[in-house]
Amino acid sequence: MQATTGHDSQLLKGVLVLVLLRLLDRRESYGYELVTRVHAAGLTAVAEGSIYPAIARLERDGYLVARMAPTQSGPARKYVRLSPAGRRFMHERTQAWRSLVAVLDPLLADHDSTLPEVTR
Amino acid sequence: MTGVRTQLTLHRLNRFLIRRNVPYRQRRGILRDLRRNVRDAAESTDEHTALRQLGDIEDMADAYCGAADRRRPRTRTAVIAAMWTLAALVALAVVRIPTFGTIDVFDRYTGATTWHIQLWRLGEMGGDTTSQTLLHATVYSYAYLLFPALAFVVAARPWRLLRNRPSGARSGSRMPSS
Repeated sequence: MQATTGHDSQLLKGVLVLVLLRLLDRRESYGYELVTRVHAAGLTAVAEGSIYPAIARLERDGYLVARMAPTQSGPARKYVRLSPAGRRFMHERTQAWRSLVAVLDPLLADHDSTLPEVTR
Repeated sequence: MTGVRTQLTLHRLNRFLIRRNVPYRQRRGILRDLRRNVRDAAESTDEHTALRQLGDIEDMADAYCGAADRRRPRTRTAVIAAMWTLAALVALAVVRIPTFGTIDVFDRYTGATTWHIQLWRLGEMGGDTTSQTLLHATVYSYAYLLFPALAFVVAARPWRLLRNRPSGARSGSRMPSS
């Protein structure tokens, strides 16, 4: 997958929540593992400093359920997974994203067709 | 064991969170989780890289601010503050501090052997060297209501509700609906 380095950070911030929800829908994760999964998905430009607060925000809003798991080294890890409300929220966000893309795609296609005139 | 640089970074983040009025319990949870995550990251890279990948700590504090539930009044803290204030008032009313050392008079110029202050309708305090009393206080019933109530309001910090706007991070993450 193509890396997103150089993409607009605001744009990435907008899709981050949806990405996190999608990844957690597949399986539960702990903080750093989720970071690596986000990066592996191609969003390499997203800083960890954005991901951890986003997880905390989703947890506060009741979209994630957390459980503590003891580890061999150091303090316990916090694993998070989607709650039923989180799953509903993910579907809403997915629909919202798709409808946004449906609106934007024709506009961007229109822009693409006028691109040679602009560059001339 | 967490490294010194990690501790310093967490300390910095904690300071930023305090400035942003994030409650203690939430700060503790944020720092605990982050310490664990930095440790995990450091195991696959190194501590320096793990901390660098966090990005700007102040930006992160701003982002955590949106995740912190600062809108609830701090009722638990407020109740504790009110109880401590009540206990302090009861102690003040009960305890009598005797004179010690070489206190002859309370004012060497006037030679006053007593002192007395009337605190409106809240209570009175005074002392008397003839009865070997440095401080003796009487707390009126109004004070037992007023001061704990005042402590409750101050500790609850209701003015936070006025200052807390919806955070940019939170509104920024909302997807525009079509």
